[in-house]
Amino acid sequence: MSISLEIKNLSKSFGGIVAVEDLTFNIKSGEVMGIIGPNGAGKTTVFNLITGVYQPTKGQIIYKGKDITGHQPDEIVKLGIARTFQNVRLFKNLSAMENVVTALDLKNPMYNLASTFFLNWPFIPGKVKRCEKELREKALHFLDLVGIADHAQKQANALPYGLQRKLEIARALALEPELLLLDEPAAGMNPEESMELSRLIKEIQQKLNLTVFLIEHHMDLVMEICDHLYVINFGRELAEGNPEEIQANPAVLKAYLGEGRKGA
Amino acid sequence: MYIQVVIILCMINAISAVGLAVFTGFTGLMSLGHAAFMAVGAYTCAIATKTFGIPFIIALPMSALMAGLVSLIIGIPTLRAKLRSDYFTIATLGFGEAMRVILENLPITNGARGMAGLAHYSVLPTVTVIFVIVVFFTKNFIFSRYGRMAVAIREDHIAAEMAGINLFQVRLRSLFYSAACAGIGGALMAHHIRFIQPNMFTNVQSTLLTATVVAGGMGSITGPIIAAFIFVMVPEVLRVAEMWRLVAYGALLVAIMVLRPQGIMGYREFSINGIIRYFRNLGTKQDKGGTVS
Repeated sequence: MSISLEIKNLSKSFGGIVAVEDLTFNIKSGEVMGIIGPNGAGKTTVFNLITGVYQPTKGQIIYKGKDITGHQPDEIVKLGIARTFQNVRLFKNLSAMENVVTALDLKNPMYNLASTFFLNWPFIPGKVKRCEKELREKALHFLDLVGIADHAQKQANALPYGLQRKLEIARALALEPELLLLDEPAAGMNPEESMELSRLIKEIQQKLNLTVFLIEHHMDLVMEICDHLYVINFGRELAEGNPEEIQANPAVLKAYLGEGRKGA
Repeated sequence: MYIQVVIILCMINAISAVGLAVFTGFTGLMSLGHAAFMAVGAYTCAIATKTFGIPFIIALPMSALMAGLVSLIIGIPTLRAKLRSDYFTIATLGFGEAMRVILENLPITNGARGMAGLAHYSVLPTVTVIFVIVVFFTKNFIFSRYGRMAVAIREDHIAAEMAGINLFQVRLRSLFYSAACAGIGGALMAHHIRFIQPNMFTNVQSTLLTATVVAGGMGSITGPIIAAFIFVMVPEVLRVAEMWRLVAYGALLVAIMVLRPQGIMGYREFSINGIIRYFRNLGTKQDKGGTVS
């Protein structure tokens, strides 16, 4: 298996506060990798560093053999990394459909600025109208993939919370990424919903042949779908391994799952 | 004719407001310096036609282009730095004042005395045609993938960036477009009043433009057009009330913001289909009430 993402000695400090220190790990293509750790361990910071929202203080991020350290977020997305956010960030006043169509533009730029201005006349079918229609059909496919095609015309912030999370995943998928970063996709969901979501993630991952990197607190979801786990605490590496190894690791149990308890 | 003069003024303001709507309403950045771009357009057109004898039909696009290019001077440094929108607003405020002072001191603009005796090109048919063209282009721009990128930034700039949108590029494009529209507005204004001086393009004019967009609806093209017409016409209608008309004008603005904080049109557009749909829904509203989930 080839390596999708390589993190080398990654550090980030904000002023005097060290958020992430000296992390090194690899994500193999086609696997589901999970990053876990107690609140404030620096998981989201790792995501923000990978996606270029923050610039690392030290270290390197290498994606498919290319150094992407210090690149701007939009450049990184173009290379094939998409993400969702811990607190859902949708284009709230737009419909679910438009949210996805916005993301589709990245890999499907169907017309240029000149045709925008000159080839879109009222009552006359033209290039722009045809392309827009095609984009909407394509968007529907992505909405269908996460099972919210019925809500395509609803305004994003009118959707129930769980569907908003799914819409965010649909929008990320519309960027046609190879590596998908999910920041707490099951936050605020009950155990049943989170198991349904884990099935969905697994299904999409296999269908689209994605590499998935996720942050999650629902241990049942994590243990269910992750091939590999990376555990951090106070910004430092604590353990790495497959779910069984992690569950048996005494340091992890102590720091994260609680002392004296067995398993999750 | 008096009414003609008022309608021309309405459309000129609407042209500038529509441009600013792209920038403020759809891209989500506030500007308090757009009068400067009107000034650039006005002076470019005036100098081109009066000093160099260039035909109006060529001078007008030149004014748009010049205003657009000037907008890059303020846009490139401020937008590249990804300044938060309120810092950007302060920068435009300074820029607007700086532009006025520059115009007051250049020999070619005839300084503070301004330029008089401009030809009367801004007649009703001309202004109407240009108004329709500007609205048409703006509508095409907004309801396209380019407009969508701008709206995405307004809605959530971090999410927009993570959707592969280059904030700097899209914001600069919106600024350029809005400045070009303001430039056209200014050029038409110059050949409507037939006299320009730097004092016509102060912060008051900038604020009025932004107020027009906000009151019309952030995220609407037709809203700011309606607002532009109201804001020009109301003071004219109230001329009988003499000194109280400006008070009434201010009260109107306050009333709009209190009663309709989202602006006259909000995020919607005024359209014939929309009206038909509105009346059709009136009848079925009660049935629909129960099914809202």
